[in-house]
Amino acid sequence: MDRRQAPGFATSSWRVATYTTAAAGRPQSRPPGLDSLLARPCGEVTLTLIGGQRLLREATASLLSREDGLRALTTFESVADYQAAYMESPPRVLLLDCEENDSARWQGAIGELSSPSSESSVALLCSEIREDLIRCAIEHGVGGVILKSYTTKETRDAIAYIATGRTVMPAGWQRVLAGASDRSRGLSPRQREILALVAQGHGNEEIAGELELSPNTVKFHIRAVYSRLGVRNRVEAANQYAQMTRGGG
Amino acid sequence: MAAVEGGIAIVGGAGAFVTDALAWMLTESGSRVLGFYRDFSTLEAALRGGAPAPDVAVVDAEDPAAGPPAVAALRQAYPDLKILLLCEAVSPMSIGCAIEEHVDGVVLKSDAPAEMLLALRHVTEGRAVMPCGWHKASLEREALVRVLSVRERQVLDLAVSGLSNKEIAERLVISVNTVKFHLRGIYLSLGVHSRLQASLAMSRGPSG
Repeated sequence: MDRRQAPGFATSSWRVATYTTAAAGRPQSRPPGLDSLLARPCGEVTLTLIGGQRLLREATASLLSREDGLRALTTFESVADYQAAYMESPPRVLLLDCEENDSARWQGAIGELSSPSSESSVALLCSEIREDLIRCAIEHGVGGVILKSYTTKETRDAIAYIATGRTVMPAGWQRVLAGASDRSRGLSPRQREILALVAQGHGNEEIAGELELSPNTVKFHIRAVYSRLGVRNRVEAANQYAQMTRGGG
Repeated sequence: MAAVEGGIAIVGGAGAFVTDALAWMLTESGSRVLGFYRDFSTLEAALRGGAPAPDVAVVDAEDPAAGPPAVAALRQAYPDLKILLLCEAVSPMSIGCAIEEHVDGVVLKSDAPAEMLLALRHVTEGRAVMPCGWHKASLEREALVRVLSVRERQVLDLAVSGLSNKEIAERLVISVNTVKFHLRGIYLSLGVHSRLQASLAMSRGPSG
């Protein structure tokens, strides 16, 4: 008997019986214990929203509070406000609004919220996934990314999963990492370092001073970077670098 | 708990207790398990033979016949297929595979059945899930592969999943001597002296 052929796992009569009822779409008699096995781990998940516009933040909080198993606590304008506030028990999940146009602000916020001793999982709320966001999320052990396009139910499910310490991301989140690493692969750490300085507009002399190298060594590295990236000058190199760090194109 | 939408194929680990139990649990919860497939080519042959196409493939990460190579082959052949990787532990290898092959979900064999169903639900609804502790494994993997070429990484992944030099050569369609050449380069880059040490470096959990 070849049990590996689809649907192939009916190797004994009790199994045939079990799977036939299930295949009809509605198992008639469940073995004892299965229901408890499949029971969703319950318990209320407490939640705090931080950042974003006040109206939207508070509306989101009250909307999520109406969902089963979720309770939104006070919301906060900023991480500083949250840290200054006294909370009897920290919320299980911190939902941080990552505004697109202010990456320095939310990157700092993620760093402050995700200390290893923190009892709360951090989830990021954003409109789309970008490379800087995902990299920051990996580095700081962020519990997940929730898109603003999600329905209330999807958001509830994602928050409940994140509350267990695991991670939820939008499908295909790896794509924003792949493009950049493929292109920057093949650059040595020193070359990457020099490329970053070139992209910031520094001259060869400045770069040499900064890295304590001779200007000729810097020129040598820059030529190697040009040939790796297939570019001819600093401007093209800077554009490539911008694309690499943004993860697009 | 509601059933998971869509058909599920289980790839690798067939006959092992854990996948049998998994199929039983999924079927009992009302989900559709389409079948067990020993490896990627078995699944492909079945699909060519008219078997229903799965929406989700659950792949056993530790099965040498399936594992990361099956994930890579599945991803290449069926870009839209959802892939859920079933792992013993969170290791640089399993997480690296999940990131590089755009795997939709990673679930640990030590997770509760309800967690598995939740993960499957997220995956079928278009979200990706990762287990606790994956961040650190991902950073470790990145540090490891930064020093390796793409080919070296392929060879290393196969060597770590227990394949012999001859098997690796057949899988990648290169000569055994080329495999040995790549392995020497890998050992040098990772600062190890044997495939066992390389394997330990790749599969060691974040705490190790």
